[in-house]
Amino acid sequence: MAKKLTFESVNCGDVLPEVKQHIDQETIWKHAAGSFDYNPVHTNPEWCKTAQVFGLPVPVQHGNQTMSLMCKVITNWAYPVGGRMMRM
Amino acid sequence: MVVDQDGNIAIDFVKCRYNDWEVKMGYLEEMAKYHKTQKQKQFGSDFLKAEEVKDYEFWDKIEIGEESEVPVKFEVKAEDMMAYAEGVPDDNPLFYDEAYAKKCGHDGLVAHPLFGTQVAFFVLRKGHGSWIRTPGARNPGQIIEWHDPIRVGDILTMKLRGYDKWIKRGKYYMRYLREVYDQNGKLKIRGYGTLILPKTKEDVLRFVRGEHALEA
Repeated sequence: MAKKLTFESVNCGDVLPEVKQHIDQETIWKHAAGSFDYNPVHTNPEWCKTAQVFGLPVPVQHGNQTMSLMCKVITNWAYPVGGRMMRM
Repeated sequence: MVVDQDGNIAIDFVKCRYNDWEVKMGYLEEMAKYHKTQKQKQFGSDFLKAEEVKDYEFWDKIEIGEESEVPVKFEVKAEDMMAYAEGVPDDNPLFYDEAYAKKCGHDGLVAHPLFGTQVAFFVLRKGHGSWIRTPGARNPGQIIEWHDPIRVGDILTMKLRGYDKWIKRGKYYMRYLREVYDQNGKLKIRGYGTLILPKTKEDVLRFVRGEHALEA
């Protein structure tokens, strides 16, 4: 286990390791299955061609899947040493 | 599809299955490949289904200050937590390996911080709070507070309150407060969600038909 984080060990300006995630329709479908968010704006490419909820004729990624990237930066860094998120 | 003067919906699904989009794309079948857990197998993944759409609450009907406790409960199983992390996707072993999680200082398998999303969509199926399912809904922002870890075996209850709604640049916004409690009444998560929604049932029905309807 990595060294425990403490208030003193964290400094303003610390840069946490970046994370990357490739996104395609399959990734979005998997996220829909994991989150139960089957909103057609994410899952139904044919419907999106005409509905154009975001002004685009294609599905968009779930907002929470984007948010999960921010979570991942924190969970990769703090959770292995017992940390927890309190607010985002 | 027919909408009578009272706004009741009648759709002959045999004749018009959303212009057969589902049949053409097979997108529901594609997603079904990823259904592993008991809840995933039982949960309806078709948010355009008319018999569900008619039970949604629409923007113009939302009462600010109205509170409700969602009748559907969520019993947390390890497979649920793992399925969420897998869907993110996040392969951090904390979300899959209880022994490793304990070694890292946690008291059991760790729920992904956004696991509450799965809980919300599972329990919010109709009426008050069904806004998140509305075809055409957009999520421009949210704030989440984590008060206590979700653990395997928890039985979660959700409470909701319509918090605010407003119109800005022709778009219909609403904000709600969402709280998740365990079987002992302990607060686990509090969230403030904001949504842009179609305004009326008629607008949602236009979305169901695949028409753009947000700036109705």
